Amino acid sequence: MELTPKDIERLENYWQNNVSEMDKLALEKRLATDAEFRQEADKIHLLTEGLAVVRKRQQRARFETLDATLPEIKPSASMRWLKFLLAALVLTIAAFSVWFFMFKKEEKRFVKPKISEPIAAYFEPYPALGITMGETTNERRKDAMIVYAQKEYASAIPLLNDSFKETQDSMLLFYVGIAHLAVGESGEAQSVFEQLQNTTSVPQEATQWYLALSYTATKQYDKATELLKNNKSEKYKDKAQKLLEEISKKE
Amino acid sequence: MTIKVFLDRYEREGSHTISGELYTQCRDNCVKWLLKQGNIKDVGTAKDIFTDALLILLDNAERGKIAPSDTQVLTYLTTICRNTQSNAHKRKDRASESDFDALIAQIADDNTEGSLEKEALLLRIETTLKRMNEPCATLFRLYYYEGFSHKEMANRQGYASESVSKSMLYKCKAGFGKLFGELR
Repeated sequence: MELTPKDIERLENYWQNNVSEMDKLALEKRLATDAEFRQEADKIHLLTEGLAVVRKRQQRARFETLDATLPEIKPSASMRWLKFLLAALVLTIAAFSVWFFMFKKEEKRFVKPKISEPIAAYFEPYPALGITMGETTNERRKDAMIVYAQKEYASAIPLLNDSFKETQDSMLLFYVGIAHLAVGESGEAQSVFEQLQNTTSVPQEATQWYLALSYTATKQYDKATELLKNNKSEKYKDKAQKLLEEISKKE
Repeated sequence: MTIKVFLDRYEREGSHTISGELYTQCRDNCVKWLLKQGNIKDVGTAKDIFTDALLILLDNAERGKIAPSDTQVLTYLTTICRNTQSNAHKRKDRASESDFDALIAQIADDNTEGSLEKEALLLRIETTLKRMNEPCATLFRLYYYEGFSHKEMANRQGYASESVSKSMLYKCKAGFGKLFGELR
């Protein structure tokens, strides 16, 4: 048995759900009862679907051929690099933050004395006096002196200044001068010790000595020489002599 | 290119030329989208998904499933890519062949003679196609390979109307079935 073109048209419409209910029932009845018709219908159905598959495969092959003539697509590297760069940046910032907070802060707290080179060998901080309870009842002064005694000179300067304003004790100003000298602020130290010259409430030999060191550090050798020559105290005279010799070489 | 323009050209020119143009114009954008947004790792897989999407577009156009609109074809293709990519696990069995596979299974169940081999069947179909005489060879080529509508085929072949083209194609199919049987 061969299907007519009309049979094929009806069957294709049926497979595409494009038939009336009456035609559908009639066709289904025939497919169920006419084995030969059913066999031919199955064959045409298979061929129609097979043709569609062959067509799609050929289209795919044509696209592959066309693809070979087009420029190659390279995955965009810029985004990957950007992500990599961003990750590296975040890590760097994180590492820097850790370093800054853990080490840099510590470094600031414990500022080592930055004595100017010419006086480094001669400078010794004046002993911290007035810390024990017997010596003072002023807590602020005591705290300032403890910080000075711990050699945290940068931190000690404002505390000593505050305490001086409160007590007007010139000895505190004296320690301010030494702290400035210890952190390399020779100009500030000079100004403090000049104020304290001839003040009886501070040790004058020591004041003269530290002022001489301040002048040496700021290269005011004439002034330094004069003070050193006049310093006759047992404690400083040998060191003063050595420093004078060194200054004379520089001059 | 808008969907409206695409459908118009598809109707007039068939699928052959326009599908090549769309492949060339949309491939890079779709593949790059799949690599960046679609979480696809390699270019080969992305191209495969894009090709499937283009075939779906052509299939929908042929079945009249697309309404004319001013939407860009690239947008339409990207949407199909997104859906196809999200169903990637189903792609092992290409959607375009699933109907055929189901039919083979059904006919094999009903067929007392035994199983049907898919690839052997497709080879026989291709061989049969090559042996078709005129005008059937041209009609099959125009309809199944170039993707022309019956209206355009009627114009090209000088038939009076679409229905003549349809009727001719059904006649050719009947002949195709007979030739296919003879080649068994």
